[in-house]
Amino acid sequence: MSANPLSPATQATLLLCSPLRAGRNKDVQPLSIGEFNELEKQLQRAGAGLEQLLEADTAPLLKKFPAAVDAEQVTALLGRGFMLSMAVETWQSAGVWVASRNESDYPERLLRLKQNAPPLIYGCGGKKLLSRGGLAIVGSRDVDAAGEEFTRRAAASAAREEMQVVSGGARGVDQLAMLAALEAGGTVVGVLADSLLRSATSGTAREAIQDGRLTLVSAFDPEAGFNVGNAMQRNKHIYALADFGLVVSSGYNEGGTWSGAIEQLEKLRLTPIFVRADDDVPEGNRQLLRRGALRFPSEPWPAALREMFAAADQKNPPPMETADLFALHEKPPEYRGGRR
Amino acid sequence: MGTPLQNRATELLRQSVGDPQATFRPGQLEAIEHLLERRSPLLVVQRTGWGKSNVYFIAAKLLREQQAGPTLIISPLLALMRNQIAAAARAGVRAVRVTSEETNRDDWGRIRDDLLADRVDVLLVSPERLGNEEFVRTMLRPVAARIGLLVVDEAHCISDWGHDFRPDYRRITRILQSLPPSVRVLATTATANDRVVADLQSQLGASLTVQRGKLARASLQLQNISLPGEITRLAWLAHTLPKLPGSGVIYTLTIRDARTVAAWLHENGIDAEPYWGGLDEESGQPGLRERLETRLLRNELKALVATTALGMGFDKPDLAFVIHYQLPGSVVHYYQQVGRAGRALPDAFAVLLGGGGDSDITDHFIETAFPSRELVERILARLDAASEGLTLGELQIKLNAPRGRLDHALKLLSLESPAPLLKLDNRWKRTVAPLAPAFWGRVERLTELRKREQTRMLEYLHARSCLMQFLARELDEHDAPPCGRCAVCRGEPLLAGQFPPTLAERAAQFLQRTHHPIRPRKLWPKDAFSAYQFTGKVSDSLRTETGRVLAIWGDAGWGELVRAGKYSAAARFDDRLVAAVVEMVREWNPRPQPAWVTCVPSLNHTTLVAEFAGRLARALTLPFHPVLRKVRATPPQKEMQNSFQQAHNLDGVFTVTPGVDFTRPVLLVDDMVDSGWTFAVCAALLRQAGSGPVFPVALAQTSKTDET
Ligand SMILES: [Zn+2]
Repeated sequence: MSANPLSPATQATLLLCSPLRAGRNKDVQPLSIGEFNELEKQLQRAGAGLEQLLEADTAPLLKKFPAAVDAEQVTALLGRGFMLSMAVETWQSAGVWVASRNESDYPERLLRLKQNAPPLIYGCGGKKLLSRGGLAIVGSRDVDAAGEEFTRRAAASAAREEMQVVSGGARGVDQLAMLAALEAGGTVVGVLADSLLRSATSGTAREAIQDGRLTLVSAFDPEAGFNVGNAMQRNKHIYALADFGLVVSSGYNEGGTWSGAIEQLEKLRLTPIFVRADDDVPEGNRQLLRRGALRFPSEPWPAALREMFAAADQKNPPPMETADLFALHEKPPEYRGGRR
Repeated sequence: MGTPLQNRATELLRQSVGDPQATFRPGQLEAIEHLLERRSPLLVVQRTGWGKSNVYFIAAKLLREQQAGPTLIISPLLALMRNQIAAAARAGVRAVRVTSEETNRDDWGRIRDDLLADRVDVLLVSPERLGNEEFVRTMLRPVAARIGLLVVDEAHCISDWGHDFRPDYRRITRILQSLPPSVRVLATTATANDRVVADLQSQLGASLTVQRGKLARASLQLQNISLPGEITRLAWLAHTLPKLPGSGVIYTLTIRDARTVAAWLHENGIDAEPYWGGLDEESGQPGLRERLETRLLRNELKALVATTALGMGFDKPDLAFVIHYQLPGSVVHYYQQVGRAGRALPDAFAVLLGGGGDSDITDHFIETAFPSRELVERILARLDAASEGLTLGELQIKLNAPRGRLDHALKLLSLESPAPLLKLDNRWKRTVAPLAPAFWGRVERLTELRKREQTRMLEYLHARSCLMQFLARELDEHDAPPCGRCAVCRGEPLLAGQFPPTLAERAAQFLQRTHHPIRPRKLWPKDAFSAYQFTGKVSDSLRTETGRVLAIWGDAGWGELVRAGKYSAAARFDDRLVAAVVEMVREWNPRPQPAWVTCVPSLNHTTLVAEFAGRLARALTLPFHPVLRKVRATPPQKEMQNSFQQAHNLDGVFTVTPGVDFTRPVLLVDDMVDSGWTFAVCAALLRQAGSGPVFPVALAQTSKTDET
């Protein structure tokens, strides 16, 4: 129907990849990223697009695909049209938007993740902030008092210099960083692993979103509860949406902060990773430095944090193509690839 | 011979109606074929009784035979679909409906099992259900993943230009708009003018196919009669009904009128029963509505005196008359309500009684259809300040607003998109969205529309040209010729507007005798009585008995006299009121019989009620003991806007000093009753101090107009 708020490709992606309101279905399992990538590849080969999957009879098309695509599962998922519209209605009413990987409103920075780019991203608040990059501040939940203070100061300094703060919305470092940045008048992107709907309606977040200073996003169903796997995935999305990473405190060989940082340092290399390196930092911080992370200088910090990043960055050549450090608020041209 | 699809459809129709020769009505088969073979959404505008249910039940069955998922029907009129569901069952269609009144939790489990096992072909739900989290999660979820056909009944509600406003259709419209093309859509309505059809087309997309039939009117004989006031209308009804052949319906605007008219007709030896939406619950007789419908269908009743709760879907081909006790809100409503009369009869009467203050009631409906700006602003401000949201109860306490109004406002606001507030785990929370200014624009537009409809209704009442033509034109059927059957075409009344004057006198007396029950309060509001420590259920040992109130404040019966007593300089209730209460108590005959009289004390008018209660006691030859004392002044109860406030305002206010006769049953007298909390508290204190059962008696009820 013409008034449909979603494009056919987004509708198809939702049918295939979303639980369509989490926490309540035992019926049919949505496709994993891998399965969805495979289906997209097969569609491309057949010269078809996702929108063709919305047509009346998909059986002839699906029959052409190899066994890697489970035609029965795909058919069952595509049959959830009414469920889709119910879910979309609920999200729309709550002010939650959704963008799919194949549409122009999908955040470009996430495309840096290539095949790991989440097929769907849900959000609440303006999309503009998602292209502003900034400083990702991450750390474990059980951070000590020194770490807490450091987090607040780092986030506030970034905010004062108009560097956006990107964080994960979890208790501990994440929430401290986000709050401090907002209080200092900065903008913040919160990348959640669960409960987008609930977070977006809680007091502090709601006001900041209304003011256009906070955008919450999540690659997971807006009503999804906490799940370790999703939290790990989410780390990728945080770094992808930022220009630099700052690890405040990390466990050693354990926890999401550690594995997320190691993944950046050794595999994805989307952003340079800085680590708090004072005297009594956790063991994980020290080990990250040995694995190639950059030392975040001790306080007092130079007047301009941005210049300090540039300097530190030059002393420690990043493992991948460099961002243009003097154009932090623009989309780095190198990151634009990856669109199918 | 037709196509295999046509043949199978006809076969199913014949099974369903139990007639091997049955054929489809014009349009029915075309609609079924459209749904099966084409994917574009279909709007069917066909008169009541055309047989929409044949279309969607047979289409649902044919889709199942093609391995498609079940059909979901969204309709506000489920209560009256019993017959259609039974007919569908004969064609092998397994249809299940989930309504709030009839489906208890045990049934939910059974229905859910059937849904999970794919044993259901058609699920029927009300629009409100779609907004109910629990229902969606437990019941709809198992089928939602496979719905093949979505049917939306009363589709004119999708349009703001329709004659009905049902807030839940806001959600349904958005669901329809975000449906992918794989789900088939059928929208149906009995009445949609050109403007509504055009609006539906813009809302649902240009691919919407519209099928539109002619209006029904063959046997209807229309007449309007001006009879100002209740007394003359009651007299006319009692005089005229026995002369009418067959059985019919008398529509009233309020439940109170339905009760009054039915009681009056009863007294005149006419078999009439009142009927309204909440009848089963309020009468404590489950299934009463259904039994009354059946009795009317079998012509065992002369008439049902009904609110619009007896609506579309009630199918009685030999309905002989429809009489409107008051002017309905719009000509379209009127057409719909009379349109179901006499389809299988050569003659049927549709009589509209009007003139006088009917508009007061429709005005009230129009004015309360939307919340005030002030209430909305206060709600939003409260929720803005509450970072984790508020429950309805908490909001009620903070806002001192009537629960019904609050509930209504929250619902309307939560149905906006984006909505400024939403309900998460029973807490109302603000979302990031502001309330769009367009909301108030819509409110104004809808209010204006309702007022125009009201004006048109008055124009119909006084129309000097063919009445049927007037109705047809209102529905954009412009080529309708004069009917030749209505009172205007004939140039003379079909039914005389006269009645014997003695009947009017009796009707006046009857109205003075119409008493209303005062029902006991059953639950102490949470935290309202910290001083008295009343919490939880009102135990049987503290509860009042059901009492009686003489009149409705300001009503035609005793209401005026009560008002005069309360506000006159003399501050004394007339002796006629004493006599009326004595008569009421005699008729009521409460058991165990009260042995003494007491009254609710007041600090403002120390003598008004006590003096009246004393006179009443003398007239009843019972002793009067003013054992209750008010120890603290309070703001008037009528300023309290909701249950919590009304109750809390009385906490710790009264004391009791037991005396002679105390342990025997007692009449507890007050002048006004509103929420009933004053009676509840006084009775609980009396009983706590060891009194006998307490029977409340009041002169007038200051109720708001009750809803249909
Ligand atoms: Zn006529």
